[in-house]
Amino acid sequence: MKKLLIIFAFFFFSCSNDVPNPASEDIFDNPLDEEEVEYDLPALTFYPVEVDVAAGTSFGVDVFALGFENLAGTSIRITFDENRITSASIIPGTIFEDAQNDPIFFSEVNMEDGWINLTASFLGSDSASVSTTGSVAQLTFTAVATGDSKIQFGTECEMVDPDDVLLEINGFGEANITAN
Amino acid sequence: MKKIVTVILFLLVTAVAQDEAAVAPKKSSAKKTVAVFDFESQGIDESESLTFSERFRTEIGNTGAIRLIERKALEKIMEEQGLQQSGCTTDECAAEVGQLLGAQNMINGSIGRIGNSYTVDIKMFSVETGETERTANATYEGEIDGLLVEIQILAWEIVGMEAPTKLKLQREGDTALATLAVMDFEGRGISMGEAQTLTDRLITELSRTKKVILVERSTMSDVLNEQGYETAGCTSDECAAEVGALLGVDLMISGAIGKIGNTYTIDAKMFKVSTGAAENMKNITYQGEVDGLIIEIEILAWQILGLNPPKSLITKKRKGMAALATNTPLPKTKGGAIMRSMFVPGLGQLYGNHGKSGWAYLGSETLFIGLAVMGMNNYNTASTDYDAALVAYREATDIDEIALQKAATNDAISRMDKANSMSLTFSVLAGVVWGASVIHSALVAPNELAHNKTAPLQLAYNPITKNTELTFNFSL
Repeated sequence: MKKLLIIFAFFFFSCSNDVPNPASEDIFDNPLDEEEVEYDLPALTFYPVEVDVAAGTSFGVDVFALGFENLAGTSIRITFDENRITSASIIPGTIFEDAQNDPIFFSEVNMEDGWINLTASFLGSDSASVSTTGSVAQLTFTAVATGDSKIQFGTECEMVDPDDVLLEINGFGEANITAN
Repeated sequence: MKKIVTVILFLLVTAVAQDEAAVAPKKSSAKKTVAVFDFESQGIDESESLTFSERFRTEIGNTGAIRLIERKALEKIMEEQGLQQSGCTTDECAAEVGQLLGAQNMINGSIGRIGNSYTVDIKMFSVETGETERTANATYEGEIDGLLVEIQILAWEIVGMEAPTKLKLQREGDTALATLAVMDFEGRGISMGEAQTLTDRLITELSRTKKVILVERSTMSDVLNEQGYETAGCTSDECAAEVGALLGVDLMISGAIGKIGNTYTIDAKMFKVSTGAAENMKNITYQGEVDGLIIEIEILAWQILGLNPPKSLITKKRKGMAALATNTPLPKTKGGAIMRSMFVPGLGQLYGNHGKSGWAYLGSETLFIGLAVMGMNNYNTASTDYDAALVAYREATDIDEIALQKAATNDAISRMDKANSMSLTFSVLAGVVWGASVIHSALVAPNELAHNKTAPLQLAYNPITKNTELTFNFSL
């Protein structure tokens, strides 16, 4: 009798299912979701922020600018563990593409010390600027050795408005790379 | 004077002649002394052949037609003569041994095997003249065990007698089935209807043995009527034999069922119509309800034909009245109602003849379970949408797309929550209905004590074990 009751109780209460709760669970974890990121805006971040890759293969990480207003130029220092990953290629992002004027884009890579400098700015009218979240550059790396490493922003990063006035950067994201 | 002397002489001659005539049948009916040699074996084991020889000796002794000389006496003489049974194969040798034993007849034989067939040839000859008096043989196809019956039948045939029907019935693959008619059993202390019912059951069971061909009751009734007998009036053996002869059957069964107090007696006799000799007689004493006689009669049907009753019958007898009760519906119990409601809500009420509440429980349970299942389906759909929206959200890099997929994810979560609540609510309601149904079925179910007012503790005589037993009964 007791066993039967347990079986029936199990049957009825097995109808209860788990429902995700955004308030208590970290469901919305897109690093570009301005409402959910843990740091203050405006900020610089990477996408994706977690990369699992096989050693010897390439992977892409985009550099994003979040929540900047009246952005006209940028100079960004990115550092990485040169013993584990190497930079393979760098192409401009989309953040400045919608402007009337063509942007300039420079990149400098130092493989020995493990850093990249990105410089992007509008040419022409000094008043050209964007107020949005968007990709500054698309970076491609190659994992050369197994292990964990990070891609981070350096302290030398600068964001400016059309008048070359520095915009405050309140947060920095980082990308965690796991090479197997 | 001359006439008187002639008469006296005539009377003396007649008297002597009568004396001689009286002595003559005695002389002819005197049992012959017979010795049986071990059978020769050709193609079968020596040990098997010896076993068959022994069975032959036993059966020929059972005929009662001869005086059998013991095997040991035969062996002793053979040993004294420096002979072995296997070595004494000629009729001359056998006759010589027979003379030394003081036997009138000797029997020898052989068992051979050709392919899957066995042949048995037996010969009885006179020791005095060496003349063959009788021979018998049989050919048998099948397992060697079946030869035992053939050997037994030959034992009867070699002495010029017909083998008992019991043996013939045992003969494997016997296609020539004996015909049999059953007279209505005489009822003493039981009604005629009961006696006829039991006779019918005997006939049914006899036909189940498939060892006899039965004569229809109607055919027998016709014959009885033609002879001016009432069906119940032909109770004597003579009458039965006469009816049997008219029916042209080999065997007849007649008998009587009597009742003394709580004890029933069944006396049955199977006899040969041609000779009137009893083939088999059985009597049974039974204590208990008259219904229990049915099983006894069924077993009797097999036993009177010299067959072993099937196991199912033995089991029925062991179970006694309980077996008879299997055909009658069991009384409805509270336990039965509860158990049914536990498995299907409302079933206990239907079982307890509370149709409305039963259907109400069954209907509401079905409805609630249906709604619970619907809730689960909705949940599964929402869960699939959630997974898709969350993947799209995580992969989005455009702010608007991120917002859109985030909203879709939240919407899916909301639907999952509603569906889960629905499923849980109706599951609980189904559980409540189930519990209520079980309790309700227990409250409204029939009380088994109302059906069985016998005390749980009883002291009673068990006719099967023939012991007085103290029993404790309770319903599960």
